[in-house]
Amino acid sequence: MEARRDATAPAMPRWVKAVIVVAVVVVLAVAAVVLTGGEHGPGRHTGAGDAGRHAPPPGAERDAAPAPRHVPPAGGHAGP
Amino acid sequence: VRPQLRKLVLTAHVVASVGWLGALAVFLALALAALVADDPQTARAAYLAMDVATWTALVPFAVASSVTGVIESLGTSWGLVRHYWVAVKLGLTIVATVVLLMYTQTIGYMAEVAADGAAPRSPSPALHAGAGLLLLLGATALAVFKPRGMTRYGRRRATRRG
Repeated sequence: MEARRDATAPAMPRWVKAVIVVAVVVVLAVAAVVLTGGEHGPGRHTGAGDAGRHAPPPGAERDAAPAPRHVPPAGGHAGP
Repeated sequence: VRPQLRKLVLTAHVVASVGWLGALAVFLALALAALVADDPQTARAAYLAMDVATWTALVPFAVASSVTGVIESLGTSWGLVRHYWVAVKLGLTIVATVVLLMYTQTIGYMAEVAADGAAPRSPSPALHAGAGLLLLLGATALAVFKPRGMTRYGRRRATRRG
């Protein structure tokens, strides 16, 4: 009975199939970028430790004068 | 669920969702300003403002929109996974919220760099904000048009009740 009802059930709407296809393409694109060593992901800008955290990323543009009110954290920028 | 309570939750959901869209639009504007501003100080200020906007507007609105959306769905006959449009909208919202929460690390780091006197000049915030806006516009369109289509679970449940 259940099987017969499923057999006559309407198919998944086309717009849902389109959404699934787009989602798969996006996931594959992101995976390809990650696997090919591209720059992506939340860890991209953070090093393994704090030692590298304050190194500006490539392309960073430094002001002629440093920020006047920034006070480095106690113990400098070296992390635990 | 009492109609008045349902309308209260619906109002909260709409307000949170509209707030999320607006906050994301402002974030995109800041991200573009940080990318193209001639003045490095303007770019640095934009990165600092993005970090503030992330924690004071984007994250609260995203979490509120997700939570109120789930409550609203469960409290009405739409259900959470009975109709394709509700299920897809839920998926879009979850993806957008998770990516946002993960991306707070990146924004925090860029704000630190900006506070140290450098402007990261990265296209990443603008790309993420643009993609997020597309997701949220898609979710909004689903909520407005409510395209037909019941999931297998929804059909089974409707048959049992009918």
